[in-house]
Formats: sequence, C-alpha cells, structure tokens
Amino acid sequence: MTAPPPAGAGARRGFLTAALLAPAGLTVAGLVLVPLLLVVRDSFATPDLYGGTKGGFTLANYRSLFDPVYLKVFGYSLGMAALNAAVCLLLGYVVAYYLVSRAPQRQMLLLLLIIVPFWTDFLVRTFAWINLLSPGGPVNSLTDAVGLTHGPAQWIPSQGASFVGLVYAFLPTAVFPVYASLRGVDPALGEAARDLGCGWWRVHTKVLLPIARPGLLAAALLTFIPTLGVFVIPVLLGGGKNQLVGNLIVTLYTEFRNQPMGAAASVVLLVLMLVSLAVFGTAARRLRRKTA
Amino acid sequence: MTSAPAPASVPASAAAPAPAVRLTGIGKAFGPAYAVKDVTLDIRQNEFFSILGPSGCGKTTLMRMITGFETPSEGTVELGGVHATGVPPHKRDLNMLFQSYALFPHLSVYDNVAFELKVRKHPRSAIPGAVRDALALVRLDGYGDRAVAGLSGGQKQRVAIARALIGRPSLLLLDEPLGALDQKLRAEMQLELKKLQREVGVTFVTVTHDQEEALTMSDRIAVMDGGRVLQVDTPEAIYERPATRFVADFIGTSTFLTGRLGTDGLAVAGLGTVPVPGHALPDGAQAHLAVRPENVTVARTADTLPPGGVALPATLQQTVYLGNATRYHLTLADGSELLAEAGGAGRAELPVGEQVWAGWDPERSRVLAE
Repeated sequence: MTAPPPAGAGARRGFLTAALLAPAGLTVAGLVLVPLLLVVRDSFATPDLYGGTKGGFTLANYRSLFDPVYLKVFGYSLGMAALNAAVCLLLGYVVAYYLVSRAPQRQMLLLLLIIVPFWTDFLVRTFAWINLLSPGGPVNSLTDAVGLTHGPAQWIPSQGASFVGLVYAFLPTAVFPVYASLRGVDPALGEAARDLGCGWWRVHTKVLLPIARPGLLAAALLTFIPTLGVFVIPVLLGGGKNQLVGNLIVTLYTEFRNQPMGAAASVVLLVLMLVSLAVFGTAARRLRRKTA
Repeated sequence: MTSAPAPASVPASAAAPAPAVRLTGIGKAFGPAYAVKDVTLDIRQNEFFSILGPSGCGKTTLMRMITGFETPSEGTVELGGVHATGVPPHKRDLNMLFQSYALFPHLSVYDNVAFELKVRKHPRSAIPGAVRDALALVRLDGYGDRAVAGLSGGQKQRVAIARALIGRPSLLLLDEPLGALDQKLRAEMQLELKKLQREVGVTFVTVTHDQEEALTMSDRIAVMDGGRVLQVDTPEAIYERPATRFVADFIGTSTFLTGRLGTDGLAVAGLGTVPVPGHALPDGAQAHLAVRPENVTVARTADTLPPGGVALPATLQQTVYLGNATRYHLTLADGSELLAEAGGAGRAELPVGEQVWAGWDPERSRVLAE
C-alpha cells in the first residue's frame, strides 16, 4: 500500500478504505450505536410488571419525567455540573499557572503527581476520600489538632463531601488543557504586563487568562458534561440523598424496575450533553475566529 | 506603636538635575554566587546608555534590578532622584523593550500599543490619538487593526517600541534590542533607535553583548565582566583608552605585550624594552601594553616604518584578507603574537614565513595594570 495507486483505481481504493474501516465501524455500530438505538426505542415503550418492556409507542415516559421530583434532579445536576466546572476551572488555572512557573524538570515531576491519581480507578479514589473524611480520619485529626473540631466529626455522607469528591475527580481534567494553553506562553508576557502597569491581579485578568481561554473552554467542557452522568460519588460520599441524573437513571432501572422511564431519562441526559457540546463548540469557534 | 518610617523618597537637589538612574553599591546574589557585585553607577537624563558585556556578566540582572523584576541583595536604586529599591515594576516610571518583544498575542497592534494607557486609566477619548501618534513615531501608520502574529520581526519590534513609549516613561530599558534582527535590519535599527531617542527625549538604557551596537548608538557605555562594572565612559574613550586588559580585549581587538615597567619603557623578556606612553603605574610594576591592530604598521625593513616609533622584528605567519582591510598575524622575537591591520593604500604584499618589521606610535598604545 506504499506505492501510489494507478490512475483509475479510485473505485478499488474506495473499496479498500471501506474494507479497512469495516472492523472498527462494525465494532462501534454494534457496541455503541445499536445499544443507543435500543435505549431510544425503550424510552417510547410501555413498562411491564417485571422490569421489562411491553413495546409499543408512547410519550408517557417523557411526560412522567416532567414531574417536579424528576425536574429537580435535572436542575440539581445542571447546577452541580456548573458549580463543579467553575471550581475545577478556578483551581485548575491556579494549579496550571503554578506548574508553568516552575523549572521544566520540576514541572514533569508535579505533572506526574497529578497524572498518577488521574489514572487510578474512579471508585478507588472515591473510597480513598471515604477514608480521608471518616470520623477520626486524617482530615478529622488535622481539624481536631488545630481546634476546628472536637472529637469525631460526621462528614460522610453529606452534600459537601460529595462535592469535594466531584472536584477531586475532575480537577486533573481541568488542569491539563489549561496547562497546555499556558505552557507555550513567553514568560516575558507577564513581565511586560507588569512593566506596563499591571499589578499581579491584572497580569492574570488582562493577559494570562485571555491567552488561556481556549484551554479554559476545553476544561469547562471536559468537567461540565461528564459531571452530568456521575453516579458513584453521590452514592458513596453523599449518601444518595441528593441525586444526580446518573443516580436517577440507576434508580429507575434497578429500584423502580421501570426500564422505559430509565431509558427516557437517559435520552434526556444525552440531549442535554449534546446541547452543551454544541454551546461549547460555538464558543470555541467564535474564539478561534477572534484570535485568527 | 512608634511612628511609621519616613517616606522612602529622597528629593532631588535643586541645582543639578537628578540622574535618571543612580545605583549605589548594588549587588545581587543567587544563592552563594553574586551575579552583580558592588556596582555604583549614574545614568544621566536623556542619554543613550549601554551596558555591555559577554553573556553571564551580570548585565541582564543589573537591568532587571533597575526595572524592579529583581530586588537587589545589597545597595540602593534611585530613579530620577527618588529612592526605588523595593518599588514593584508597575509603579516605576520606566518601560522595557523585551528581547522577545513580548507582544500580547491575543490583542491587535492597536490594543497592544494602547495597553498601558488603558491599564493606567487614561481618559478614553485621549487613547486613539495617542496610539496613532505612537504608531506614526515608529512608522507603522495604519497597522492598528493587524494581528500581532502576522507581523515581521522588524515590525514586531516597532510595535513593542510604540507600546513602551506611549506612556512617555522617563526611562526606556532595551534588552538586546537588535539581537533577533538580521544583519541589514540591525544596522538600520541602530541608527533609527538613536534618532528616536533624540526625538522623544527619553533616557535609553540598552543591554547588549554586541560591541558594535554599543559603540554606534551610545553616548556612554558601561563595560561589565564577572558581575562588576569595569569602565564607564564614552565609546571613544572606551575604545581609545580602555581601563583594563579585559576592556581592551573585549572592545575591538588588541594584542598584548607583558613585562615589567621601567623608566624607559616596558621590559619584555626576550624582546627588550618597548617604549610606552604616559601612564600612572609605578616603576617595577607588572603591566600589559595593549596595541590595536590598526595602529600597527608592517614593513619589509625597519627604515620604511614611520620614524620615531616602536620598531620590532617579527615573523609574518599569515595574512588574512578581510575585504576592507588585510590582517597580518605576526610572531615577535619572544614568541608572543601581534596583530596588524592595514586598509586601502596601507596594504602591502608581504612574504609569509619571512622576517618583517612591525612598528607603532607609542602614544597609540596603552599601559594596563596586570
């Protein structure tokens, strides 16, 4: 396949391309597209009594999702995702700025310290937080030592613990794109800003943050959208009291044994994600046009 | 509580204008090593001043202490007669032209140039006119809407100059201003920077390792080596009357004869006594005699050398054609090397490998302490 194809071999080349793409294409179709379509089909079906579906076509499942109880879950999820993205963006920028202002070798070491937990399983990291925040655990001992608490503190389950877990899980995802957009920046830019009258705050707001915008946008996207689908953290650290859409879907499928409604909630989540993606995509395109 | 310390400002004396920059006993240590040590220096108002030295001599650190990016470990900085040692960069009445230009990539040419006025909250209505004037000053009229990324190196530098001068600082520091430009553009910018400095009446301080740059542009030059300032003087004085062997060697080219000073000259082992010009060193001191190649005449015989000068037999090792001049590499009787240079009518066809005579006017050589 190294020699250029002879003239008039377009059709044969097209066939070859299709043949080479077929294994991957079939895999994606079989493992992603088909299940997705099945979920969409289920979302319009009528539930039977045993957790399955009776088929048919109805909009009742979607209509049921408009119940305030469910709407609250969607609203709460969007709020949580936005808050998580905002906090991750802020911390991510601070960490990324700290990283790029270190010597190159130190940067590699610090990056590794972020990457290793990032590669560790989600569940393991969440359990680690259970240990850290448990009564008499390391964090509790620390707050006891400095006099913030007296004796064992009951922090798990709570909304706060759940949020800490979320931020911790997504922070690396925010650090990397911001780090990438700050890494190539000439250190003289910050000095030039100071030279031209900026104190440290305006060095960031006027120069570094605007330059990091593409990275910040990517970080927002990469933290906001996945947060919508999280379900382990609210259960383990939040006690399942404040549910995210992910938890709702699990509950509908497993506890309520209502497969069509679970499917409908999944489809709504999918649409929410696609809409967010479109919003971020438009913002990114506008940004590129402006700087081009 | 006792009273607060007196405000950190020293009023300028009414008689003489305060120097633009006054460094007193300034030093900067990084760990145990000093990058700059015990520098005392005045830079006058409205002069074009150069800090010249090889890389690693401490010139950049010295400049960064003037801008405020580095805090001196010892000594004081005064700017325009006002004590400025601990003052942060954004509160100093000076600007800097960065070697990389450091233009803000997310802003247009206009917004780059207007940056300082916006940050310092100048009246909104005054900004467009000021930007237009600043761009006209660097001959970039009409470039305001351009993106920074599309500019050539020379244009970027002009934008950086306009951005640095728009706030009318009392002092502009230029870090290797011509380092990134090609040879031809460099020669052009040398003259232009000089002209610009006279036009705007701002004190320019440039930091450079390029002696030609320093000699062409500066009113005065400080030569640095090993963290210390060795000599501060006009380009002519630095070239004609270098204070140390390093200066004589670093600025232009010099060859050196080394020996002991006596009443009738410098006694060089294996060479005899060489006449020297007036100097302040005591008899019996070890000293170097610095001779510039362009002051050395080479001839076939001693009697064809200009009369009244030094005349030494030498072996011609090599001639190098330089275009505008020819350089002769000579070895003297004691084995030391001597360079001679002749241009135009002074050039002579001389036999390589044979004995010739080298001579110079003692007044055109210089005695330097060991």
